Amino acid sequence: MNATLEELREVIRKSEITTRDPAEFDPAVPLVKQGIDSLDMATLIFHLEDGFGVTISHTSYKDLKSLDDILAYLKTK
Amino acid sequence: MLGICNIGVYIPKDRVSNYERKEQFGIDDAFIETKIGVRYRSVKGPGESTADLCLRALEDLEQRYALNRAAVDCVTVVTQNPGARIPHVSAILHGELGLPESCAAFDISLGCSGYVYGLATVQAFMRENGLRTGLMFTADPYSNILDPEDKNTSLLFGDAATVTLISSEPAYLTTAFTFGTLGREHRELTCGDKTLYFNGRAIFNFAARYIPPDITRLLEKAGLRLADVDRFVFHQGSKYLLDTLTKLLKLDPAKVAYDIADYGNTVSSSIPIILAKELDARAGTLVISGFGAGLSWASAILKKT
Repeated sequence: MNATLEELREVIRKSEITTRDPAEFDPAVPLVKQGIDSLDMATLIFHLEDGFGVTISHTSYKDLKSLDDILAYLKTK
Repeated sequence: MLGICNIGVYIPKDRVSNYERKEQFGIDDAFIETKIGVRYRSVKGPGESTADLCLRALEDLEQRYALNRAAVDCVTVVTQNPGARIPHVSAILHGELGLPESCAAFDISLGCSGYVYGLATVQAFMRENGLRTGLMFTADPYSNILDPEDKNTSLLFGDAATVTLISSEPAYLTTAFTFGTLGREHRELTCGDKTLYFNGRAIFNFAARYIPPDITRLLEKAGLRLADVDRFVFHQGSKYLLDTLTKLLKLDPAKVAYDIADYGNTVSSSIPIILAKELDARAGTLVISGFGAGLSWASAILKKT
């Protein structure tokens, strides 16, 4: 699946995990280092599953730390 | 008609402050208050057994209601932390309370879905056998199995016990139930040896994915709309989870109970602790929904008589 960064940002908007503009997030930096805590990450991944129609295993979930990680993961699906 | 007549509650007075653990877990006040939603956790005394917690809950019930112990013909305990494995806690309570020899006593092994499952089971058992006065206890002291170094659980769970009097003089009737199980995920919430394992992401995902459609299914079964419900009493998993369910179901936040800031997630006791307060408020129609170990869930409609 070829998801784009903009599509990912749109999922962040819809998830309501932050009031910041998702464009402000550096795709290479772990989201937890940009103010997204572990609970918000769980919500984001929940909305990613819905938005992209994928199931993200608990094992894979642990490796999805940055937007780049998520994009790379979605390419494998 | 059998239903919920009254509820007794025991929350131990001892508290552990989550504010004192901010440095240990790298969290701040906002995380404690708006995410976990638990500022203090209730913890039982080291010598207090599961049966002891239940007896204290019964003391509270007997202050609210003139219970005739000689009339009790069914006693059950919902727990997965009974202390000793043999005998069942309900037999210990039966002996301690001097209940009649004709009284049935059995335990139900369920976690956070246990109160709703228990209501369905005990009421059906009583109806089928012509029983009239039941005591259904909940007590699952997770302080026995918590790892103090585990951020996922040691900031969350508190100890408590409740007892629900089920009789033919009910304040609330249950009018519909739904149940569900996701056994393929059972490894995500376990206690194999002595310590709780709790996969926070898995439990969050499970609740967010399965509980909103279950509430829709429950309302359809009862012929109700969301707007017909006065109060939603979900299992108090965490404030974040309650807020998530509120958003996903597009509920009015004022209708959604949140009560755990000063004692924590008390497993199967979380719903009846709130219902005990609702008995005084007397909302007309309530939805209750419990979910957790199994993974399992159960929801019900309660209607004021």
